Amino acid sequence: MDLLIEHGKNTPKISGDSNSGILVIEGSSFPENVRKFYDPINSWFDTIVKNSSRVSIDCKFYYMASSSIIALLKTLKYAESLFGASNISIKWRYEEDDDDIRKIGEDFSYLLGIKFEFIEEPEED
Amino acid sequence: MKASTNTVVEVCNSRYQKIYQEYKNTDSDKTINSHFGEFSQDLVNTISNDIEMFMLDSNDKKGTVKRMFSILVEGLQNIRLHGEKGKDGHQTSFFAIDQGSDTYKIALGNLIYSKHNENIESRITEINKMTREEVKSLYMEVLTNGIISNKGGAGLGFITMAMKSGNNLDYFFDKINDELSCFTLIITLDRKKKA
Repeated sequence: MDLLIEHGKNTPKISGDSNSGILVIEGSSFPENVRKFYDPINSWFDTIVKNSSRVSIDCKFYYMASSSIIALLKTLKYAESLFGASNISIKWRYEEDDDDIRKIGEDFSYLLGIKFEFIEEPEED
Repeated sequence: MKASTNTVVEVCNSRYQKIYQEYKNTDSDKTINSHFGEFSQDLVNTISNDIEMFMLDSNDKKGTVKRMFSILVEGLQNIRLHGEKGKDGHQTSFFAIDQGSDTYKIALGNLIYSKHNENIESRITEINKMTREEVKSLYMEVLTNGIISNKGGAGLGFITMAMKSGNNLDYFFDKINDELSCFTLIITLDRKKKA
């Protein structure tokens, strides 16, 4: 099962490729019904864990509201419980000089005990 | 018994006018955006985006613009999720942003149950007493135990606003009656990063 959620006014684009086990999240995240928004990712993990022992998660955020930060952390914790910390690789992209987004990734890495690959990217207009 | 709509609007509007006049009476300052009434999710999105554009035009640094965006989204979502309704079934709420030469002041007001006044006040004063590091530890603690309520809140609103502003949170409670109060939160955001 592939996963595709297009960009919304306050939600990121999410795409999951079941064959490669890669999940990509990109955009800003501040929906009000945050639990409902991130739930499909958990279902996608449930499906791919049947055929794959590893998952790669590639995130690039421009802005995250506090409720989205908690919801994403919960989603990552769920992935960790299914795959195990050593079988998850996480790329955390952020715009040049965007310390706030970088720090969110650092907090996640610390709380999950998973090493993140931090990638600073040039600012987009 | 719920207060009549007029009393609710009168008390909230009186606070809103006081803030608006205070901003207006400061020569160098200008109110760049304000609204009194209900906030739809669409309006929250529009206000946040408009202010982002305005600040970029005012040559504010991108970091300051992002912090403002964050304060506004947290603050306006707080109003939508936690603002109580008056007798007419509508939220009475407001916001106003003042641009000064060194700071922005963001005022956010909404109805709350008067029985919560003390609890909210103690949460704010507790955060105000903390050092930056202590606020960060509290943030990490809430994040670790993170629970998202049925309303969609995560308990990080005040903490996030305090972290982004780097200044104390100011507030007013205007009691309407034993049941309802108008709660106003004022956040100060420096336009230049503190040394």
